[in-house]
Amino acid sequence: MNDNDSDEELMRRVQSQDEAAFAALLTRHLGAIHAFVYRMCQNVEDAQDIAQETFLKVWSRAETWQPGRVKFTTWLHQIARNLCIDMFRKQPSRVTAEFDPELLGDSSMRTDELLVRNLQRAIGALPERQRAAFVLCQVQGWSQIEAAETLEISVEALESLLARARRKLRQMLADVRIGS
Amino acid sequence: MDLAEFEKLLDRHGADLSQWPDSEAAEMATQLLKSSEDAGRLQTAEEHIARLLDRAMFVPSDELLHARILASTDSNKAETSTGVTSWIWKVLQPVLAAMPLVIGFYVGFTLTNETDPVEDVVNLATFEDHSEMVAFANE
Repeated sequence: MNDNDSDEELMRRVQSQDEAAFAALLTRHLGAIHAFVYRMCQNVEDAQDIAQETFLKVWSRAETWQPGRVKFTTWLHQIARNLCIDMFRKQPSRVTAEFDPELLGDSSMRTDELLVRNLQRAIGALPERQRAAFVLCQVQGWSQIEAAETLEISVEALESLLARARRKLRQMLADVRIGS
Repeated sequence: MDLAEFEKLLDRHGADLSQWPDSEAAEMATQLLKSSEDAGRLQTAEEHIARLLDRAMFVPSDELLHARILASTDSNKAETSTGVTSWIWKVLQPVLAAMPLVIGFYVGFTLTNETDPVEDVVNLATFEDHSEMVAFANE
């Protein structure tokens, strides 16, 4: 197995149930998928389960991947995102974290910690599409074109999601500053 | 560029002007930032969020996850294989159960229709008179 093998080449081998190719893809992409999922659901156990389920689907449904249609990383993130959405639907309480004014009363917390905690909660409270757009572009550094492809929307629609997300987060930051 | 236009582009493309897709708009934004405190405040707030994101979006590492996933694909394969075996067994069970019956029918049916040529000759020889044989048959 060559480290330089492309994802597409490895995926073709996975379609023939090549375990070594699957292990290579797993090594290459687990970090990014785990990070994406963790940032989407902000829960350690859920992130592990969804990352695992994502790669299980890659293995068990490899034949559904069509080379040339979308990049492997796009397809992989689409699977992970759909699993996140399934989880949010089944357990809506998991994503109700919101800006917490109570934290403002905690004088033992430094302003920076306060901001970080509230930023986490504010990102968790964003609607799923805004959160996915923000995480992919702002946190994981994807281009808008790649992110739009993953979310299956136009670049313009993606920019609109990003704009709403950034505005909300900036407002949160202002609220925390005023409160503290 | 006015403040509203700047804020709109800041929302869409973030605080790093070098990442804006339209370099002309980025240049106009740079000019605005030199003269507008409000624009500066907006950009500073956006930059602050970007800095906090490193900590807010920190992902705890998970050394065991890789092995766990490989192990789960193994067990998944085993389950799939067991699933196929049990499916085959489910189909075979009634077939196997019906086999003695089928064999019994087959053997029984074959034996009752089979006539041994030697036995036929013996039977014919027993009756010297053909009419006697016909009468016997008609009884």
